[in-house]
Amino acid sequence: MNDGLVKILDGNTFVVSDACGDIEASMTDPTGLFSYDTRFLSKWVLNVNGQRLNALSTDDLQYFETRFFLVPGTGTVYVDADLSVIRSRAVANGFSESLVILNHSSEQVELSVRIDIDCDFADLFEVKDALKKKGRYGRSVDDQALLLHYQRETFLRSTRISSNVACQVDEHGMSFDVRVEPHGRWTVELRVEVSSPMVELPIRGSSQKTQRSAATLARNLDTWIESAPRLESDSDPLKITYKRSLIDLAALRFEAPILPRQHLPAAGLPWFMTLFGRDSILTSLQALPFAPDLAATTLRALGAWQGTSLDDFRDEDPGRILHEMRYGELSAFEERPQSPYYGSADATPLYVVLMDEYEKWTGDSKLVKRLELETRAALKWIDKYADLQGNGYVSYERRNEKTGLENQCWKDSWDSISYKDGNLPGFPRATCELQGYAYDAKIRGARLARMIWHDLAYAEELEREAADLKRRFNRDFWIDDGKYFAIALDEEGRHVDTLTSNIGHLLWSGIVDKSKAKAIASHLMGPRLFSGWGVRTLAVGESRFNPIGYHVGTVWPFDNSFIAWGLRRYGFKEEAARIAEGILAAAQFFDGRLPEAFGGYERSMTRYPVQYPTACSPQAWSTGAPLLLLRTLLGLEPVGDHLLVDPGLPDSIGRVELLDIPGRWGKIDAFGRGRIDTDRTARRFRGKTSSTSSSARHPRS
Amino acid sequence: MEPVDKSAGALNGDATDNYFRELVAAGEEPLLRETVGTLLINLVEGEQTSHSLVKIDKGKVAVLRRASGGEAIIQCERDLFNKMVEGRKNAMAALLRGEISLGGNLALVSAFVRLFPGPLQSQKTFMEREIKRSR
Repeated sequence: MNDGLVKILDGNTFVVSDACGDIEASMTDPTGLFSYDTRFLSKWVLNVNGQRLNALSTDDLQYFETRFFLVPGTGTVYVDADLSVIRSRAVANGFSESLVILNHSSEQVELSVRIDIDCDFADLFEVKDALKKKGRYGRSVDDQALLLHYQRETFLRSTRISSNVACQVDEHGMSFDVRVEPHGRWTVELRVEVSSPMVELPIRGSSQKTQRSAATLARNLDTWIESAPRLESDSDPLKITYKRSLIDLAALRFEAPILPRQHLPAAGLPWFMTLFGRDSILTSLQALPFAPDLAATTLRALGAWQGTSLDDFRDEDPGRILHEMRYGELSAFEERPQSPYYGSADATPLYVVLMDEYEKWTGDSKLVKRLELETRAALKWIDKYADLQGNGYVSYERRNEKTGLENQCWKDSWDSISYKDGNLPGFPRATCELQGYAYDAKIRGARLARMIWHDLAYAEELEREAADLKRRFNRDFWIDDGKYFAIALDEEGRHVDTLTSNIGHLLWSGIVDKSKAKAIASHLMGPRLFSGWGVRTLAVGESRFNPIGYHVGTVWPFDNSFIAWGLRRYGFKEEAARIAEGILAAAQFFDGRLPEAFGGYERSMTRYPVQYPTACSPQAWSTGAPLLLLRTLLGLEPVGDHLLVDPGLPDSIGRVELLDIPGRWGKIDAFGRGRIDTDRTARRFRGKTSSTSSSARHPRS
Repeated sequence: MEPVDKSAGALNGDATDNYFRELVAAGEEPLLRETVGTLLINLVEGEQTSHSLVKIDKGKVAVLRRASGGEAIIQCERDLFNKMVEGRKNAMAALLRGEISLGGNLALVSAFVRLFPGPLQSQKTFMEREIKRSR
């Protein structure tokens, strides 16, 4: 990977090392063996005859295993080494590592091989924020194993390192006296096992307890790829991006302890390998046509953890869908609220959106019946707990003022919501996309009430509320002189008046009046928002605009995938194709793996997308973006028991065939051929920021 | 086999006893309407351990004095359990601290633990907000 670090993982457990496979972490350094948000190894350094090794190459076999080819030496000049070392590592409840030393000479060699071992048992958040530990460390040795442990009151975490070959174990490592015959080899298998309440749980039917071998994981990956639709296309980059997305999505799956043997997407690798409401829902939505089981597990897991009471520390309300779950020491001692934390204002309406979309694709009405109460509780949360100002809009303000989140929408950095002059509004804040999600949740909730729960009165009530919300929203959020929607209403109900990508989500939700859609599409494709690669988070010309500002000017692939979907919903086929073309073209610069965000520079200026430096790659919703873009380009829309296909492909992509799309129809193929000249679309919008209000196009829904 | 439970807590009528009584008296708990199963709760108090077998049948709850059976097990100090059912301690955080031992079907445990109330102070905050909002 481009930061020089090698990362492998399986679910909640991952290893980050240097290119030699060594780990030498400090309290602020993010290498190590991590499981359930705790570091279980902070030092793991291999020496041969007192010398560190040099990496000839690293072979990333799969996301869960890797192999390092090493030679002894000074690190400056490669000499013809008489020895080579192959270090193979696979993650499995900790990891296992095999060392093979090959003697290439015709002389017998005697070597002293040593691994230095240590652990700081840091919480992931401590690594990020450099916090001090409060507990006691201990270490003990029995004949073939080293045990490292950490204790704070009843909180106990330990790591056990063992070898299958006789060795000298001391409190700081293991030493081997090795003799290798001429042209011979020497091998040792090392096992690193972690212990914590989450790992120890005797989970019924879980694969966590059984030893997960690399072979099992490899079979599992093959099955995963085979069961996804097959993509045929004239565009090789598209095929590469598609395959990359499927493999990365496989790596991002994990098992929640309460739902053994079922997988849902975590938010990002490696630091966000945990349940996030927003990320898991949006990724499941993006992946629905390709891997619908992810949505089912996400709905069940988030339903099981849905808030049931009021808890200010966790910003929990009845019916609220969680934001983030963490298992480390800081969560355990309530120094951080992620046990779990509920401070997200969008996950709850989006939960209902996913529920409905999932049923439309799969016809799995059984799950919708089973989760009826959870879905109703989520809908109730919108009106009872999220309307903080009593003005009929969803807004947010944290109750946990110390460690809660200030911005509870997807743009969660401190300066993401600003007025034109750069000032920041007070709280509560009612951002516009939240109203769109709430509207969509009510419309979709009404469909479920009518079709699945057979509660006509409830369906009508929800539809009335949705219509009322839409009417008020189009009046109260609309900035007439700019012809777009304010990003938010502030604590006084005034416009927070910047032009942002959030207006694209409004199209996706369907809350935009038909008469206003054309103006919104023009803004999205106009020079202030559209960079040529995609839509910027914040428009050029706004006071806080910065092309490499996290939520204030960068282009987010996930954001764009939903914007493109929204444009299609209102009939803007060419515009959607233009966005898809830009994002998919950007993916080529990253071997098909889209970063979380890239710079909002003009495409013609940089010619390549400048990656925003973030710690996580792949990121779940960036991985899902090409999938949703494919759906959008092919115009896939489930209607009753059928799948409508209405392609709108850019000519640069050419032919696209998506075969065996799973759903309530069984399996269906979709075909399309690129006919849209996206360059022409681009020219049409250059120098045009707003436009007249009439639209010849009609919403699809 | 029906071992008689003579633990002090059980005779005191503490928070746990009240909680179980109210749960049974409520007749139907909507949050458990999809749940069927038995959960053994072992509460340790000094030398003694009290055992309760919670039977959940689609929303209906029965609590038996029984020390065996159960598709899932929760074991912890009775004092901690008292605090959890009063909203003074959080179950997930306690589990991560190693103060609770769990076994068996975790979906069942999580369904049961969801019923625990939140902190009283948080309910007061909400009431105050509601009053302010209605003005």
